[in-house]
Amino acid sequence: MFSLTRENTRLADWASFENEALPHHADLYRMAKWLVRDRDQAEDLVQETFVAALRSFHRFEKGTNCRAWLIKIMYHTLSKRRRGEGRLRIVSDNEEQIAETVAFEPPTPQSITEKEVLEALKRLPQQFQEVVILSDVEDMTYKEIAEALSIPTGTVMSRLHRGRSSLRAELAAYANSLGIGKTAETESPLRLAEK
Amino acid sequence: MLCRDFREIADSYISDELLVETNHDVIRHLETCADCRRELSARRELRSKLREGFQHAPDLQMSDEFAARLKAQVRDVALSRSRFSAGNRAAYIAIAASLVIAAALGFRVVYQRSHSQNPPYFTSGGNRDEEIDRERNGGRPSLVSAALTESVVGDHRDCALSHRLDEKPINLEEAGRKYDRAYINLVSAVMSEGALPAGVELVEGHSCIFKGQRFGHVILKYQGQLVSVLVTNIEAQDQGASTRAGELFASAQPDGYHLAHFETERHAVYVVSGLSDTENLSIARGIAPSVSRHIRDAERAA
Repeated sequence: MFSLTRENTRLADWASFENEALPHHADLYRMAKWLVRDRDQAEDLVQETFVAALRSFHRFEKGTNCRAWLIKIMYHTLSKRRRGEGRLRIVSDNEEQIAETVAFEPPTPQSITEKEVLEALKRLPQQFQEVVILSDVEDMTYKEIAEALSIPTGTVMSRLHRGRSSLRAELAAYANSLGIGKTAETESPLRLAEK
Repeated sequence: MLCRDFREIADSYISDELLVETNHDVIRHLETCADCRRELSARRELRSKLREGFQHAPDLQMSDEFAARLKAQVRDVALSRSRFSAGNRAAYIAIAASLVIAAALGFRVVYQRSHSQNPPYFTSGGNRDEEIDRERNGGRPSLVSAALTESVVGDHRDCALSHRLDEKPINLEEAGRKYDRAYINLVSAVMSEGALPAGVELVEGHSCIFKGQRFGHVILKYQGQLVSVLVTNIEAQDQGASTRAGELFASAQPDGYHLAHFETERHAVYVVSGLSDTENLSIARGIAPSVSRHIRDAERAA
């Protein structure tokens, strides 16, 4: 019967979405909470993202990275929201800003806890935080990040480089302030640059 | 390759984003440079700490309650959304309304019924043919209407799952004093010790209104899903009292919810959720004896 067939199609679509997309809800929430900082707003954002994803699920290519696809939708949803609220964040990658952010290429400190790494990440500019998380936590490729953030791949690479270097610098400074993790290398980072 | 060059591209190497030739250069350099091997290892460890820290940060974890609500809401959208063109929408709405009514009236399945008047609740032995025969032979049909069934599902969706009722819910004790004594101590009756399947948790109890119908509403959580127990007075639905006391009905709704209900003399009690038919029914079976007893006491005292 016509209506029953349509009903069955909906059930099949839902089953497919439930298997493929819904298992990523915890990852999406973590990312949303990191971006908006507020629990209620994060929940709203995740909900909107999944509803939007459901509506365009027919465009998702099976076998590709579903989490990256969902994150892309989440960024678009957030961007649309911010435009609606008249508070779209303007980000510029001018060289002066970058030069101030990263003074040198420090060696990677050790003996640092997970929590300290996360705290150091929070101290970086937002545009560096997000690319580092998308790449190093969410395992997205440069191309996937570029699509999610609607920026060129070159900009992703540049932000990633600065972001990771800044993170290492933050951690090295923190480790030095506590007198931990000091090695011959951390005491004279410039020596390495000369090699 | 110099150490300085390696450190520039070490992260891209870890991410496997380098060209094959550059990858080979990196590997050759690492074979001969212990400092860069240490640096590579330190960067991998940093990345691992970042990932672990992010994935386990307490303030970034989603609550179970939100996870259940999210799933129910998305399913609700998935199973009820229209893919029809605007021009045909009115016709399809009429068809959908007919299906809802048909589902409520025509597809209702009687799972079990009692053999005697009191008290054996939901003992096995009843079947659909017997039920139909009984109705033909003058047994009263259930007092529950299709509209009430819709209100029950609507209240579960708009109150328990998405908190978007127009009128703010009030507590059960207050509702019990003002509207219906059956609401007083309803939570205790639902949570009666040993009656529910293991793992059922209480979320909250209150009284709410959906499209003019007042409910005593106890929200439970079972297997990550929210379950609504809804109690409402059905005297206004018919001229007389229900003769269906002691029977348990179950039906599948077109939008994917499962619903079970039983009646006392003047009340109907619903259990509605997105759980499977069997799981939903097991909760209804669990609460039926104590909730019926509680409501009958309230009816006698009124």
